Amino acid sequence: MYATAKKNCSKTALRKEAMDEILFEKIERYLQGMLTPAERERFEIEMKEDAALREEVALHKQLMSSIETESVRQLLEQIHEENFVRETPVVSIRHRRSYTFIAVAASLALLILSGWWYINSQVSQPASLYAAYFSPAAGLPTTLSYTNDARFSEGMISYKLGAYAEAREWWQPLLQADPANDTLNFYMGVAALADEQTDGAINYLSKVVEENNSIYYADARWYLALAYLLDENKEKVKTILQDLSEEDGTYREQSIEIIKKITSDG
Amino acid sequence: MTTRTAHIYAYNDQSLYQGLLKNEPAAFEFIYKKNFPAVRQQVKQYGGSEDDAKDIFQEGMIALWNNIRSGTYQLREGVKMSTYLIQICKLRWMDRMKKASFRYEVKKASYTEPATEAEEIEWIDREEQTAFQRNFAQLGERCQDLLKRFYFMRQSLQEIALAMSIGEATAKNEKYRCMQRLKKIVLKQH
Repeated sequence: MYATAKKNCSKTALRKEAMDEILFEKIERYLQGMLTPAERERFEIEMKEDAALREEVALHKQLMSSIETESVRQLLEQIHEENFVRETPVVSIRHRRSYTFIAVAASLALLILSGWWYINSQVSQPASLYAAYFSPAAGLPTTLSYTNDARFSEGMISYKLGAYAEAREWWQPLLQADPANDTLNFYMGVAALADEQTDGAINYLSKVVEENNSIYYADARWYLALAYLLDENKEKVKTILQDLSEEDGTYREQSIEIIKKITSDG
Repeated sequence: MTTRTAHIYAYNDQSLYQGLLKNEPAAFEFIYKKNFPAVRQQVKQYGGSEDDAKDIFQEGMIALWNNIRSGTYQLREGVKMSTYLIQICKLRWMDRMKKASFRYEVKKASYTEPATEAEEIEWIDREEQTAFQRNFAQLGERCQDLLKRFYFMRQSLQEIALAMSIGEATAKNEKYRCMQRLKKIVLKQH
């Protein structure tokens, strides 16, 4: 008896959940403006008559918006972290009052200070110029991917999420099958560069540049220059950027800036 | 092969507006990098700290994005988006200084009021959002990831399924379950 009752009960629960899910999808489509005008009208009449439904719709709308806002907040935090936070060692001296500790703290402070000075004096050095100018190329939309290969899209999703090593793992076998593919070489190069793997980046990007009729030609030269910058190969950087600075492209101004900076440093 | 998305350096106000409307991370990053230093300098000039600057700027960014989303902010000839953002951050900082005048007394006297914009700025309710942040964190990583992909990154169920190595129907059902759990958590708070 008990067992049957329980079974019936879970059946009802299941049916209720299926109903709830249908309603859920409907609310979602309503809020996203995906209902047909007729469906919409009917749904709005239903809402007028049903206070519980109105509440459900309002809550859903609020949650959708909050999830978006929370995602933006996390994204901003991440951007800040990546671009404006310089790690400095933390020295806690609060509970240590003896002179030795103060002396230690003072010398540490001096060390940090000179470290800071050192970092500052390095700002126009090649490696930090790389950091100042590098920002990964926008990815390709995965819905309109140029190939049906799911592995390319998978890699692109990882790439867009900033998981560059993972992206490269997805693309590596594709590149082996098609070593001259400019799209693959370009994104492999930028992904390698994002992880500061200079040799890999130079290798992939050079292939795109050598081809010179690729739609990635200008982009590939820009990133190649940044790779050489990271590699502290100033001559190569200058040669590439000189060309870019004479062209009427996206990279003109930045190229001129970098040339000026590395030239003034001797 | 012709469907390349705009490069990060190619943003102008028009494409930034579209980018923020579509929640493109690169658009957020572009405008953040470009304007944070100016706002930081401004806030510090009036006695704020590095953290104050970050707070104010992020609130300003969220307000800008929100106002684009709601249609309150429209692109106008001759008013750069950067100018608008820096301006609303200045307004926000001024507000905060007024509320905590004891802390910033010294600098307050030298502060000149920026010309106020006629339009309404919808600031985020910080307490409410912090409460939501806590609630959202109570969902597992997987749910958080799935919901962010769907509602923020606007990925299709197909894309989500692909990224999470599951079927499309499973993705749809998981999204439903995650939202139900989130609703429960949120309703419990009230």
